[in-house]
Amino acid sequence: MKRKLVFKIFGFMVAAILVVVSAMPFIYVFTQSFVDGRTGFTALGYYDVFLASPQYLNRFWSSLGLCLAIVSGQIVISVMGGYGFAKCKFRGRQVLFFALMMIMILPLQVTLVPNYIVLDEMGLLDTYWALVLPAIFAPLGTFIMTQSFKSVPDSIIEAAKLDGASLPQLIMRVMVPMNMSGVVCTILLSFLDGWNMVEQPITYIKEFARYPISVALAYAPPSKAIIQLVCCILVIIPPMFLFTFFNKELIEGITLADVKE
Amino acid sequence: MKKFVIHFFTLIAILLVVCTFTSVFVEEQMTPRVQTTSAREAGDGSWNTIMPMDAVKMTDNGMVFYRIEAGTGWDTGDFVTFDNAEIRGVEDGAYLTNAQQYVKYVLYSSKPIYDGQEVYTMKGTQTHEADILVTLESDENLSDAFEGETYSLVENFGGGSILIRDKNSRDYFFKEKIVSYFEQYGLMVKDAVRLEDFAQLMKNLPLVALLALMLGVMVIFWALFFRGIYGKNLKKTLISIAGEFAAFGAFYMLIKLIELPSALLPERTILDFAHYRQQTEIITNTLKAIGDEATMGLYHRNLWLSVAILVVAATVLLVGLLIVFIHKPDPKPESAPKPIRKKAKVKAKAKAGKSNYKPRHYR
Repeated sequence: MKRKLVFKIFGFMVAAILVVVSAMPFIYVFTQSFVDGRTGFTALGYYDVFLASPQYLNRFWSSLGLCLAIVSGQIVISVMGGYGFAKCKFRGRQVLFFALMMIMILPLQVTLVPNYIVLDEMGLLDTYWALVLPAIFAPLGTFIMTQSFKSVPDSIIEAAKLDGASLPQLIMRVMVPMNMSGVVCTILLSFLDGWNMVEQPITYIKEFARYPISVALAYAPPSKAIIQLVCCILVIIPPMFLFTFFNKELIEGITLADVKE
Repeated sequence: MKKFVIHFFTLIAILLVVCTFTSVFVEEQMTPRVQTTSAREAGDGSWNTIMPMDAVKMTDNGMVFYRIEAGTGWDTGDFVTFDNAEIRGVEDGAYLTNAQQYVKYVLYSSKPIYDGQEVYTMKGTQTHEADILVTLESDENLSDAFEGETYSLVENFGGGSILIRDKNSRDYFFKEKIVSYFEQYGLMVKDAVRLEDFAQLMKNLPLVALLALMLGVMVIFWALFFRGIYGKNLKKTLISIAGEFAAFGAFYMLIKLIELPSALLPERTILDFAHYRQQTEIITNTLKAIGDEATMGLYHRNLWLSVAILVVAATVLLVGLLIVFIHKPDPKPESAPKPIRKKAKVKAKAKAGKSNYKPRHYR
């Protein structure tokens, strides 16, 4: 009994330390966003970012729009690709899936130069398309959806087909609702990829005005450190919403092991 | 938990949209408008420019004037940096100073400027004529010319001529700037408020209060939206979405209508309420000194109107928040009566002999 209690206390302490360590950067950013080196406590940073000039919020909205374009594109590609790999039987399916996994394993920096050349050939450099198109075809979403669709028994698909469901109906009305956790997981991960992208904008975009907020943050002058910290708070808002709202689905989606009977 | 998260973050999203609209407005209002001049070539191959005496300031860095520089990165647009002024002579009441080729220098700004401040550069030259209320510390030397302490003044920045109008609407012209003129007589100009700025401020005060009311309306529609969602009431949900967008539109239109007087705005932040209190005191004292009852009446009317609108806005805001966070949604309405009504219709038809429906016990 005593041993159990000791283990419980020890577990609680470890968890508490972990929480504090992971929350420390956020706590630091939040508290320091109210502190000015010269005047002490101040809310001027918040005034500058949220009221004095629209440039920070405009960049926030444009980055959000960019991420929404990436997420909506990737979800379409991932669902269709995932269904193809999971449920359609064709020659070379395994090889193609293996190739997809290989691309997924490649570090991002390796694909930057080939992507740059392709985008240059297409005349899309220095446009938002240069950020959206490569992100839409990122293989992680397809991989997650493939694994998720694999857990759906074939009998359910056959039943839907017997009821007269066409392929789009089958995907939209049977597969997607049954694998909502996989879809949410894809949405979350692709959104975070888009929201935190740094290397791609630096490589494909030259004009500062088109940089998403994740990159533009680094260009704030040192004299405006407080503004940088307030911008960090602004940047945290969308991922925080997604994680708090979809935390259950995210955990389910990552485990990917539940069989739908 | 999910409900709280969605309520909280949608409210934040609404506030962020409102902040975006407001920040566009604040930037437009707070950024000083400047008129610029360029350098001219002197006979000896050097460059100089003529700067009005007001454009050359005495600071900790000595005599300075400001030049325009193009911003980069986050600091897009134009901003001002100071150059040390090297006075080479005086021409027509203005300084002849050093200058660089292709550089633009600030001639006039709508409000005081400081090093590193962002500005809007106006194209071409404009004259600045305005009625100004001036309160003097003393009127001993000018008591013959002016009756009382406060005068209406029209100043022309471009030509440097000044028109002073007394309370009996008699005009007096002066060649010098008003401040230097009064200083010459040992008088101090205590406060000066442009009449047109004051009128503009009064006109816009209720509109600013209406903005707060619009914010309250947005919160009400936000609350109704969730009630519609939880009650599975499509009509209510659609109406609240339409209302929310209409409120956003109204807020945007209202904020476009507001134009606050640049000279009366604080130097650093638009939320400097101590500055507004000080300005209000100046305005009311000056108006009392003139004995302008009509303007005072208008001032009080607009002030009370704004306060009333703000009270309504605060109530609406509170009600909106209470609806969401305190009100428990109604239980889901069941739509059971429909098939019964249909059956009753069929039965009625059968009774009238228009249908082949037979009650179950006849089958």
